[in-house]
Amino acid sequence: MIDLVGAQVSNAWWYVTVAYTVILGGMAAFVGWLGFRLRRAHRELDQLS
Amino acid sequence: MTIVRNRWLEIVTVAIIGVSLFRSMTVVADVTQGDVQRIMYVHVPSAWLAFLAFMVTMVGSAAWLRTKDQRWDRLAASSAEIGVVFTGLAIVAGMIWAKPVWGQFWTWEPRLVTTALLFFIYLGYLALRRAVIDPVQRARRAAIMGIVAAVQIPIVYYSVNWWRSLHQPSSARSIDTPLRITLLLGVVAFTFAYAVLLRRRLELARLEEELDAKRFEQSQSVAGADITAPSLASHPHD
Repeated sequence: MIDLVGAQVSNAWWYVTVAYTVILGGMAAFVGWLGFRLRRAHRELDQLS
Repeated sequence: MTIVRNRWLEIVTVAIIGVSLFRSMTVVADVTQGDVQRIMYVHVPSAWLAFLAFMVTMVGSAAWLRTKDQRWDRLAASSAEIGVVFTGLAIVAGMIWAKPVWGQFWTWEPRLVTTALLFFIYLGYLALRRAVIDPVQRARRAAIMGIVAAVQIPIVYYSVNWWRSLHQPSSARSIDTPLRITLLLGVVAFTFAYAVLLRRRLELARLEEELDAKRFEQSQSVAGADITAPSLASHPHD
């Protein structure tokens, strides 16, 4: 049975830190991945022309 | 100054995200859930960004079907990719929030299930795009799917009203003003982030199209050379 209204947990900041790290880290990783693909595309275009 | 002129959107976005994060950490805690409710300030904006991205995909898809202009297809594809990433992030942040509040990371309740479906439908959209080589066929099939898949957006949004379950309904109107302002600031920050990511992703889509065209051009000229001008000189070992 699920406890609907969560009691205020003592380690709330731990959950907050993990959630923010996931979101901001995910965003940063996506930016990095886009940057990597952009650089690779530029390099391949240079090689072909 | 040139950097500021070229990168103004990125600079403004980082600044707004910074202000939003500071506000999220310092605003008064929720009276029921306490500090763990602060997860809402990134969870909801992530979900909003995903909805926005998928709606842009739908608009781009409809516009491609109408105009057959490749730029609309690029917009639809780029936006869908961003949407999938942020749907995934919203799901994970939601699971982390669910653990202390509901006592478990995941439960098969309507909002969670419909959001997971949304994620997999648009993952399928991206897979479809990779499966078709011909650009016009790809754009047509993806455009049809981009429009049909958008049906899932209101289903996810209204799932908390239609099938009242564990997930709380929309908080934007019901929460106190300081919390609402913080939430809206997060939504604005993530909207700016979407604009930055979309601009970069569109640039990548344009480059990839250029690359495909160049590769096709080169493969044609090689094939043409073999067929039209066979020569012993091209086979030095003969």
